[in-house]
Amino acid sequence: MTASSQPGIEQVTDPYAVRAIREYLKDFSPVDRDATDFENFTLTFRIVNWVFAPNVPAPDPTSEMGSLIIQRRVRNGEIEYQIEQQTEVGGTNHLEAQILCEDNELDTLKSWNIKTRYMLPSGKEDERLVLAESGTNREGTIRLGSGQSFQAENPVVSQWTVLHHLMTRGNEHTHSSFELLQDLSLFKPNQTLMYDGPLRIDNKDGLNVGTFVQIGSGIQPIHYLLDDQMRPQIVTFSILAWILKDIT
Amino acid sequence: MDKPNIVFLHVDQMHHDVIAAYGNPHVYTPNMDRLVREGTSFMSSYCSMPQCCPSRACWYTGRMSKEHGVMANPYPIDPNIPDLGQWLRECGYDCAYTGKWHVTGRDLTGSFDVLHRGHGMGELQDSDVARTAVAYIQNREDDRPFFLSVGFLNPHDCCFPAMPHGGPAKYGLGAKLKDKLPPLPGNFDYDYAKGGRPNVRNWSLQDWQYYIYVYHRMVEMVDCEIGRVYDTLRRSHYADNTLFIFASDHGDGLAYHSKTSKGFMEEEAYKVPTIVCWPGRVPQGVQDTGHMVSGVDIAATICDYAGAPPLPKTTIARSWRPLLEGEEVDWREYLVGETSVGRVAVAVRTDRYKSIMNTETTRFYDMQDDPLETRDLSDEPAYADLIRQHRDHFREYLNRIEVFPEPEEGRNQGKRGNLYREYIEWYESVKREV
Repeated sequence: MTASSQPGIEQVTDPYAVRAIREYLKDFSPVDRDATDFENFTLTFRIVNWVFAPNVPAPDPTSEMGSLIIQRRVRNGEIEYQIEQQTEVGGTNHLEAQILCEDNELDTLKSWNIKTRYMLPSGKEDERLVLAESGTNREGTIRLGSGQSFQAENPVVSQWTVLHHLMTRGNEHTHSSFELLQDLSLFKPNQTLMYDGPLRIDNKDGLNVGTFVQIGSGIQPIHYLLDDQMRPQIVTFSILAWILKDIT
Repeated sequence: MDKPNIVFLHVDQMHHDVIAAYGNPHVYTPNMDRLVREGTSFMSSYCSMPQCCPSRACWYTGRMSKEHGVMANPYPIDPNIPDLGQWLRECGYDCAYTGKWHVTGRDLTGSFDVLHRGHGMGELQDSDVARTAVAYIQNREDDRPFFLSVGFLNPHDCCFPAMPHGGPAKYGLGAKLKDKLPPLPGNFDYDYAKGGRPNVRNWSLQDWQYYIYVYHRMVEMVDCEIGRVYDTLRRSHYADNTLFIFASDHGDGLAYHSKTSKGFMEEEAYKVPTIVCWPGRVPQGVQDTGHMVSGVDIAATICDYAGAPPLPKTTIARSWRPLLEGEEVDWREYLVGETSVGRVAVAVRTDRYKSIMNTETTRFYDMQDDPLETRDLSDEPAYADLIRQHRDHFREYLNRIEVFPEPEEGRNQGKRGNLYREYIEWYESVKREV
């Protein structure tokens, strides 16, 4: 018996790029604000998560668990990012980051600062758990303030800065290789980003998007869904997804 | 010497064969590879019971799953049994915990200073948990020795792709990743005669391979977090005086025997990765294949290194310290693990052979010639004496443990809601066999 002659999970489910959040997308309203300046922008996302609900028939529910703001500015020939993220996971987790990037196709990382704080469910902040880190990337040698270092063989990006590449250069021929420095701390080499075909989102009005998939070590396949104006409307990880709330 | 600090870092549902340094070419695990290089790996390490709560309760109490009350996930721990957090606090330790706990019936705050409570999904919690562990190591100003327990969840997120409908996983992508999908294990049998779960039988071979692919990526995800904590520790001023123990609460089917998940006594669920690191104190780069160790030993090992008395009524657990310090010591001849998932069963492991027994049947395997457990030898007369010997080991084990009694109020919650009588009656009948 060959694999193709057997039944399979994909035959009974919705398109895989959004299958974890397909219930959520029924009421999804894409951002329709015109965005023309893709060099200076602010993206605001809702962070949602697939919910384990063994007693609920598929498709499964989705819950909103936080927010993410990605601000990109060009200043004096440098690319600056400001990141703010807040998630409710066992308490409230705050993350703030400032990133300087090279002015190139991938906005490769140059230097950064990141600070995280954690608040207990009671709302009390534990000062011991404040973590501030910094890092640099010099021609592929990544050095973190802690002393840890990694050697990259490909350009180095973060999960927040890679969006610009797709917004400005994403097309059917996209095929990029890079290393991911997730959360500016976790080195995940050998990433590939490529076009994965068109998709129609079955929300109330219907939305056509182009999909791009990122695969590589240390990640579940990530899908970036951009509309015809190249706005990143949806990013799906595995359990997590980002839903565009605003673009300015 | 001052009391050492102790970091016990654990993952959830990690198969024993997903560390690149042990020879798996399909995963990239530079951080666990570093642990392998810098520590001693116990290559015959088994959980006490292949399910989260029972296994974890064994870690923290030093007692077997039929002793501490948590014989399956929903069953609460005996409130009279102390745990490592409480025990080491009494011995002057600053005991901190971050991430997954999951010891049914025990309020974590009564035992540890809780840094982060975690969440039921690794993708959501593991990075935050790692950051709290790193911050704790970097920022603490307490003069007391510390015991930090770090509970990562991944690769436990595989439970969701293992759902019959595939959960959140992108199975349709498998067709486009054909050249990247790992092979199925040697004991995979698509027609696994009714032994697998009927509700996953709709999976294609490609779906199974994609399941392994996403599982490997989950292992890599948590590998990065392990590295972040371990590297912080080794760069800290605690580096020279901190024992580091890495373990998993149980394994995962990972398509072996065409199974996913855990709860059964085959090696894929029962055997776990276990590494101990302490540069200068624990031999580096050693893969110990000569000693069978158990998750229940972790409590005994930690108490031994901490200079604390053994936890009360430790019947089976043994400290690994003599092994790690190169002492000649009589080690256990056999190891028993238990389960209550599906049905009550035990595995008896000796150096070469393994038996899996339940109330009605015994299966018997030659693990040297058949490490994938594909040929049940229980009907072959040549093995009758060995099978009897394993039964004797089981009986001896039962005579050593102190079985947790059925509570007076009983328990009756749904299907198989009361497991107490099931194992108590079976164990008593086995003890009466001679």
